[in-house]
Amino acid sequence: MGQINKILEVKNVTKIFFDDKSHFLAIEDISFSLQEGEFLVVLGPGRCGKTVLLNILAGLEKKTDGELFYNGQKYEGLNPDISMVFQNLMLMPFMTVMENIMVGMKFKKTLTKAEMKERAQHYINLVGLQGFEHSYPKQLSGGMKQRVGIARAYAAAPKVLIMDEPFGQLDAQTRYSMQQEIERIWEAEKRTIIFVTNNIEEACYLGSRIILLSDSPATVKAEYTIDLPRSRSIVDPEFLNIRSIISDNTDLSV
Amino acid sequence: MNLDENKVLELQKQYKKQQHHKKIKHFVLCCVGILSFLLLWQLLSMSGLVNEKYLPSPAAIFKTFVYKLNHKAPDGNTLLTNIWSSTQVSVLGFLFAASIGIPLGLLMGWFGLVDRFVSPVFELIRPVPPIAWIPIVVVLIGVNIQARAVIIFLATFVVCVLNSYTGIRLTNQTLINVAKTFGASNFETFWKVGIPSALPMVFTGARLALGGAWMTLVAAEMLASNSGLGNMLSAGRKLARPDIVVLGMVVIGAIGAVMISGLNRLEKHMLRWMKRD
Amino acid sequence: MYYTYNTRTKLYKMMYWILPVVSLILLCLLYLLAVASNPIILPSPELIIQRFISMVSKPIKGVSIWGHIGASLIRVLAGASIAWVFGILFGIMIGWNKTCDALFGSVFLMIRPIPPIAWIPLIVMSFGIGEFPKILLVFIGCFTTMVTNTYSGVKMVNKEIVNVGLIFGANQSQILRDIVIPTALPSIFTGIRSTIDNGWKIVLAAEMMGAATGIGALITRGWNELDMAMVLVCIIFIALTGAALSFLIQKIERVLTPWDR
Repeated sequence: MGQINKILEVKNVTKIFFDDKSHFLAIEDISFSLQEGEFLVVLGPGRCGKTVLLNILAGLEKKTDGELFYNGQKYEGLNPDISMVFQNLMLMPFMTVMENIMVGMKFKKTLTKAEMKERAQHYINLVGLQGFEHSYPKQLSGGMKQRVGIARAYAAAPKVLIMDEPFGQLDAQTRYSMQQEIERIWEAEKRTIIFVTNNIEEACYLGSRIILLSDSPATVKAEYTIDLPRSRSIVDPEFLNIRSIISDNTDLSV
Repeated sequence: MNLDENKVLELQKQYKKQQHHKKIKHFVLCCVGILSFLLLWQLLSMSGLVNEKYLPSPAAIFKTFVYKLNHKAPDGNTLLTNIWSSTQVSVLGFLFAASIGIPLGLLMGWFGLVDRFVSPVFELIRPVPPIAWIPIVVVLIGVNIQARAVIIFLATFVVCVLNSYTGIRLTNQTLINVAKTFGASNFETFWKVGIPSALPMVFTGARLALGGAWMTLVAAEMLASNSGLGNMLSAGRKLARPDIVVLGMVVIGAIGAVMISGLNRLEKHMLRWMKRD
Repeated sequence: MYYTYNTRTKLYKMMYWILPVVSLILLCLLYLLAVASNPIILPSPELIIQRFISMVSKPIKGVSIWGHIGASLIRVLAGASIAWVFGILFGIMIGWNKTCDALFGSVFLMIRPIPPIAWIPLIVMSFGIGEFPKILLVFIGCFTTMVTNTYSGVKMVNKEIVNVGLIFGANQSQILRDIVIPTALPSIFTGIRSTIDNGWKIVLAAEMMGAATGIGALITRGWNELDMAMVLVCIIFIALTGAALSFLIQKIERVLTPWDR
């Protein structure tokens, strides 16, 4: 594969939230790196600070200490090459599916309207929402809404895609099918993905590498590399083995 | 920890300082805004760009304020008498109407038959602005305090009923079902589930009603009264005394604001008490 | 138990239809009683119907009843629409920008509690009883409502949805225009609905205190001449117009916000 490019590096990042009387340590001294083209899963129990970490990486939140590097260069704040799929979807209720996906592109003003439409249509097809271009989010199911979110993030042509528990709000069945979907989409158009979840099975299924976070304050407990070929079977003995190793180590409950 | 305790304390102090600065900046800007408004007004008045006949300067109004505290002229009552008279009628009228309107709205919202009985009459009264009732009421009852009380009652009552009705209609069906599984009777469910969950809208209604009561009272006093702030306003106009008029406006506004904030405090207090339950 | 048992009983079904009729009959009886005890003042039902017909068919002071209602409505519409424009702009300004909120919002908070009715004497003293002062009054009353609603609409915008804009590279004015304002639209529409309600009340008050045309003026006329039948008929018209306005606004709102069904 040649030289592995560390596209993102996180060094000793700490985040403390202050209020008038007290402070709250959300993230303590997290370091890890992200390799280009990989599917990195950040796994941690609920409320441990994962979203805070993602917000810091995306530039929505300021870190208290530590450094972030993108392609070797230090950066701070918003990064146009980093895109995000939000946990709470955050689709614009007043825009159609097509318009929502174009949000990913229109603010940057680098493409013409026709080009944006074309690209949006490409991603609508990729996520499997053909026919719903002019529907409003209210008319879509949970899984479909999440696909719009993914298409929107992809359409922004990012180098790094951050996904914050995107399947957390879905029912189990939709969740399984969305896991397969995201794998398919990732294989079709390779991006570097950071995927956050609190579900071990999901992590093992999707991740090429897993970073395990502790409970709050979040620190890196362990890193696992998963070499199993895709698509993985969740009843494969190797899979179950890895899964139990991780689950023994976590503060999670399955 | 790669951040030692001292650094954290230092950051904490920095944060506190920042927040403090923000608050001060906000306060100062508010003062600047209000003072420059008053100053501009005063300057326009003094320079003659705004005729004192139509809009007196803040200084003149203040003078009138001080004067009115003790003198009955020109409308026949001192300022304090007017304030007392108006506030009394509107608050009493409000309380009376609320004490009937809120329970009625809650009952109407919950018990279908009550709704069917009261609704027709209610729907007839509702679309009419309370002001329109003033002539009839005054002609029937006279230019006195009872007439004003009736008018305020009509204004307040409708709003309270509507908001309580809507509030209790929005009770979460799941909560009702839970009560049913525990064997609660219809009335018990109404009392323990419906009413508490309707409280926020009841208070919204009370807020609107109080504001409406105050406004309607002022209107009633302007049209048909010998005392009160509305009367003072009206007299100021008839006697071509814009300073009295503006004084009246300011006082009316101030009292309205005080009443609403009082109600808000009561709401916070009551909701805290309810949460403890 | 209530919903499954009682609704099926015949008694309930009977009461369901009888009660409203009973209450209306009681109301009419009460009115007839009142008329009997105040025959000079309160008009009998026949008189009311007579007056109704005469008011619909003959003009009053040269203008038909519809002309009067129309005059009132035009004043409301004129004042309200100007209030929408300035109110929404001002509301967005103080809702979005904290400095503007401190500088201008504070002054607004001082002026807001003054009820529109209290403005009437001042405005009448300065501008008389023509069309402009009435429209100005409606404007003042509607402006405060519009600003309050717009402000709370802007303030209530979820921080996370602003984050979406930030992530995709929007600058502050793009966020304001493309995200915040559309999200605040429902509150703005609530404000518009309230302004029509308010404007109607204000116009009535203003007309009652001095006007040549308009339905409020008619009430005052009836009152001055102790023509209570006229007053009552006017009240009926007011109620009908108010109800029609609410209905219309609801329909318009449905058309303009298809995504909020």
